[in-house]
Amino acid sequence: MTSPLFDNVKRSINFDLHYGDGLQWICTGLFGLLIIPALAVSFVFAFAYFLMLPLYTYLKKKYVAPRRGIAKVRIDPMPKSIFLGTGLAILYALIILGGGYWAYKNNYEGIPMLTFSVTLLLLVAGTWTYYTLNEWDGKHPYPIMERILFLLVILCLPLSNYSMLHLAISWGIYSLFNIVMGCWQFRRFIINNPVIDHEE
Amino acid sequence: MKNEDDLKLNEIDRVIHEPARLSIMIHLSILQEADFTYLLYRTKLSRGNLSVQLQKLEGVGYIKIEKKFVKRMPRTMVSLSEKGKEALDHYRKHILEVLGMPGVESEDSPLP
Repeated sequence: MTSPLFDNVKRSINFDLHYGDGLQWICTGLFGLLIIPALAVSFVFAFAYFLMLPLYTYLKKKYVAPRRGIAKVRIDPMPKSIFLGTGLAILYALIILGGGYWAYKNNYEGIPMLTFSVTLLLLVAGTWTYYTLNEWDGKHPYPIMERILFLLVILCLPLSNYSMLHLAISWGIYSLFNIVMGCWQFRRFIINNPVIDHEE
Repeated sequence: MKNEDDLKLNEIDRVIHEPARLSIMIHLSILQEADFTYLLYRTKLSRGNLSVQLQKLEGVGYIKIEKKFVKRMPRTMVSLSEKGKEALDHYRKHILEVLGMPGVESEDSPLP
């Protein structure tokens, strides 16, 4: 069944469950920050990723669940949607890795770089569209701010002649933005939602 | 002017038609399951009111309630039953039909 009311509630629930506590944005920011030292200094930094999931789970259980409770969104039971989702994820990864390698081999210049950039932009635009239609409650400013910042990072890249240092700094700023927004959202969630000690 | 029978208002499912229960049903139609705490968090109902509404919905078979203990703390998991899904879908269609029926509008109606 579908109607504007149901769709609005669904988007609100999806946004609240996935992003309402801010932890997802903190993880996104930490993930982004770790990429820079992992690529530039030592791959050992990448092992910090394995600490993020237990930390995320701990914070969810300790601080979020006692205030919000537990809920699972209904998933489309049709298997083709699972195959479609998995297939798209694999395609996404291949395009990013393959296109990035192709651009790297051509010194990030010319047709390969242009093709890679356009493909990336199309993938990002598609992801944003899906997110807006399914997971944004229409009120929170994060998606708008995040997209503006992301576009600024992308648009400034040609101005710096595709300098890797510029890209690293821009990516660092984008990651810090996510961490700050995530911490602000987490603090707001904690303040606005007291712990519910007992069910009944 | 049409009377209530013509508008089929008496056929509206009064169990779902109450705002608190309608809110619960809409949330459960989107969620596979939710615990009591989550429903408190989303619906902003009081603890007692939510308990009463859940009992009424369970009484007519629209929801399923499963009580279990997690680390010696009670946890109530709620989900929509098949009967509840059909009832909610029927209620939605019925309300839209009532609101869209000719003759509902009058000279004072804000509807175009």
